Amino acid sequence: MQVGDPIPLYLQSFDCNIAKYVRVWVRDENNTQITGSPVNLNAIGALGLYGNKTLQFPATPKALTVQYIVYDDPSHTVLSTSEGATSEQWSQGANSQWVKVNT
Amino acid sequence: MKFGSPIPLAFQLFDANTAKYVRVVLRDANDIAIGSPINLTQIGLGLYVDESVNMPSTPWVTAQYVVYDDSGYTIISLSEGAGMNVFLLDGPVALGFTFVTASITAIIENDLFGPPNNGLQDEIVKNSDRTFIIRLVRADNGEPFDLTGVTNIQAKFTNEDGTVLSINLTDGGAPITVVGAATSGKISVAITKGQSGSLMPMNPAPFSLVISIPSGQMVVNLPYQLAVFEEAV
Repeated sequence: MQVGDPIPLYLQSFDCNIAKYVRVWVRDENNTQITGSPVNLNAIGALGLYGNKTLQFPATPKALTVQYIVYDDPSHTVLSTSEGATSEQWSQGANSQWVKVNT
Repeated sequence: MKFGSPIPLAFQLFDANTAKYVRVVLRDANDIAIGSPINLTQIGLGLYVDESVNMPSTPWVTAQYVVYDDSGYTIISLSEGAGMNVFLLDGPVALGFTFVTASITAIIENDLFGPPNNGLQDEIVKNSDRTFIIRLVRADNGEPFDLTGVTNIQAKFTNEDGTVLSINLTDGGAPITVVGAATSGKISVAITKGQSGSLMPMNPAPFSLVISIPSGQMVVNLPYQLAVFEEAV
């Protein structure tokens, strides 16, 4: 993935729950949110997949941390106690390619 | 992942259960399902796999793994969690592209620096106008890429704020033009003072072309040929 490409943000509910609300924060190596963060994920299909691709890989930072938090309510105030939060990291290499560090 | 290579679908159950049924739904980058769901094969100690689907022409593929208790795939397991993977296509990508299999390379012809230049061919100085010539070449035989029938060409640069500056063949003022005969595969790309002022200073600078033809689009990456510098003070 290159600078300007959409960041593929996806979370799978472990119990295929489609009635949750997932919000994602994307931060650079200085823990500063990138432009557009946070974003809410949309339910995809009927088996608990949530996704969003509106953010773009930035040019300046060399690393990104993506934090997925699941809520029970659409206002994103009640943390889900049945779904776990998770995170992932992306790193920008010498050729400006963004790669996922962990999966 | 390379276009056309097998997607290595694999899902390990946390308790090494061998009596479950794991089904995968694949989707492209527009979240459209690819084909029918795939039933994985258990190969020992609760590892379920499949490599029957090849990477299609989409920026990424999501694989959604759901575990069932029955072979009819009607009862979702309450003891095993679902999961997912994202498989990324190698190379520059963009949503909505239909990639075509023919590939081309591109060379900036200005050769501003002369050898040895480590591939760097030209520079843009911020807040300055700049025009450079790019030669498009077919990767399979080295012949010029025939631009006849091309419906658009986009030149993509990276701005300082992380956004992408796109200059189009179809833009007003003709910032991109075909040089000479279309069969010669040469284009001219002009960037204005105002546009260059927003670019990210980098050496080398990310730079790519998107060539649109009736059957789809081709992305040509020129990662090491262009530099963007701050203006001299």
